[in-house]
Amino acid sequence: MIEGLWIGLTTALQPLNLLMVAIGCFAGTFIGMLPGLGPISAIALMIPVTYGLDPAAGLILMAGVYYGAIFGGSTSSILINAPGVAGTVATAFDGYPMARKGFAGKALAVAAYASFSGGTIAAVFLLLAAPALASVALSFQSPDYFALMVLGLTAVSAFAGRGQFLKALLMTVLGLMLATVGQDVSSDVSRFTFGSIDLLDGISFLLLAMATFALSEALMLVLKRERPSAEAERALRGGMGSLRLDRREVREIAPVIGRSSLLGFLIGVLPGAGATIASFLAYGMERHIAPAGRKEEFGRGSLRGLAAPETANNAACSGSFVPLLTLGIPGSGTTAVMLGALISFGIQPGPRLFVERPDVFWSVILSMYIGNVILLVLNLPLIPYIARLLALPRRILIPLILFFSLTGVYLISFNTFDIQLMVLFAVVAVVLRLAGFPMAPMILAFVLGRLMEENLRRSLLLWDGSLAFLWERPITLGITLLTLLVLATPLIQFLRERRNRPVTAGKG
Amino acid sequence: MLLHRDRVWALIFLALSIAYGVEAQQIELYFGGEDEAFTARTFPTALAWTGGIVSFLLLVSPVDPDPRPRLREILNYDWLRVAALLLLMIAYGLTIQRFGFFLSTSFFLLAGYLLLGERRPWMLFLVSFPLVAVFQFLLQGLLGIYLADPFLARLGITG
Repeated sequence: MIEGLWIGLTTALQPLNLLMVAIGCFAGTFIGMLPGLGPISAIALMIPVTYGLDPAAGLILMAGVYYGAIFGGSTSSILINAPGVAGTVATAFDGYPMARKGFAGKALAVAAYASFSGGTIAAVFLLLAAPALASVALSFQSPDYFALMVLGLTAVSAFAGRGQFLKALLMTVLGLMLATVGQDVSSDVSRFTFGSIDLLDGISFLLLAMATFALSEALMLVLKRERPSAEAERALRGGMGSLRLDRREVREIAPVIGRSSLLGFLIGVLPGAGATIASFLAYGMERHIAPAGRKEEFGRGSLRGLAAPETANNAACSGSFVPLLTLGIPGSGTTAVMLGALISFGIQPGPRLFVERPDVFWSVILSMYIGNVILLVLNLPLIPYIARLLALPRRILIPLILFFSLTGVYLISFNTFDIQLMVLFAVVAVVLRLAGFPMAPMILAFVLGRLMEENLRRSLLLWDGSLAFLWERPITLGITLLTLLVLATPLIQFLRERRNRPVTAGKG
Repeated sequence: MLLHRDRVWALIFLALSIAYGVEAQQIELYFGGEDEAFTARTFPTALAWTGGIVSFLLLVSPVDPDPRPRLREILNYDWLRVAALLLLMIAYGLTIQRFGFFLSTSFFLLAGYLLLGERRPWMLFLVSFPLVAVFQFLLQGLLGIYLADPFLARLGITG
């Protein structure tokens, strides 16, 4: 481990890689700050840039973008009450009221310190947990991987939100269906290509990610006529106030940061859960355990209410790298996009990564920590200036986003068919978004589709076409039972609500 | 009675799953492949069944009061502008190879800004032609990504 750490440290501290973290943090902060554009779009927009880099530098850049996007989302949540990403919605609960009271600077500082501390503590957990899990995962076989992927996809759907389970499952199936387009890897037979040569290689992951996130999110901004730049101008005119925290305030948020880091990391490790769930749970937990006199402050500008979700969402980001790096199975849409990028680098994340590419494995983990330092040291003092970008007019920004998305895909394939396909997918994504279908399960399923089919193929061949592989090995059985439990949870929740409904109606 | 929107979507996904399943049965197999434990049809067939079952469950599940934007609100969205942007993107795809990266991208950006309401001539110019020129220089000059550009080739700027 010490040797790996040293390799990672020397890789992460190379001037180019340090530059990549810094660029990633800045670009991520900027993109994450734009309401409507989340970390998935931010990372997808960066992927074409990473193709010219070596895998470690590329992944370091993407990790920086991820952190930056979460931090940027907090900035727009606090300043203009428009969270750039779902993971920072809870930040707005107390951050925005603080900004309205003239403490925008203090709110941004608390967000930065909380993010830094959450990220740092979680990076230590990651440092300890990832190698341990990777060594356990080395004993995993195809049935275990197949079962794990089914668990991951089911969990993503189960965590999609109340009443969204079936819709998220449908999006998962759609993502898997899209992954089957093109030549079958094992038999070379073409499937669902409808005679088109352009579809023989399958649908490009980057194309799908750009179309369903960056393009469709930009089109949604136009569609809804959202103009948060006016609110941003108002917020910026009001000034930021001091960025300093006094000793009493530090003492108040320190235990909150400790608790929320642990909670955030554990939630982040779970497949499907992530920054959003972690931030809401941490906020709820802090409000629940707050002393009687402090409870009323929540929602009106409480420091605890701001520090808890900010710590938890950053810790969850680190946690979500555990299944990606150790099992090769992303737990969220964002890490799915990263997995897609890694596969296009020719790297298959998983337990072997820890052994075969320690430079990539460890440098990513360490660059997360460096990313946190950069966010604190560089981004925080610059935030009043970076925030001015929020006031940049949409009429300039949106065509630029469309341009970067389209050319990002075109410059990989030089095939104009890809541009037309992107437009088609973007339209479908916009319609599905309006109908309340979540996009993250679809992209996650798409990325895992081929791996899942390959592991199912191996398992069925080994077990002579029998599904007994799902319960004959203890590890697979355990994962299968967990999947069934996850599948049953929304059903149990529904039945409980139904049982309670007449009582509530009676009271009303 | 009008169908709830979620049920309409369930029907759409059910139809999609059936069509996908039918198409999956048309996938060619090698001679004797039907007897193998796993073929190119196995996974798609399983997906078609899963999609069908989940769509059916959505179709029969009780619908919650809808928190999503109402139809009238959706109709009031800026569809015209989005349609124009979509057409612009399609046109960009059709012209990028014929007119070259520089011209088609510059005009794509210019038209995009105009469509979204930018009217200042200096701004329109600044963030289109010079921006694309810098971008193209970075791609070709620094990253070594060759872009066939008939327009710039005719001017003798690129090879």
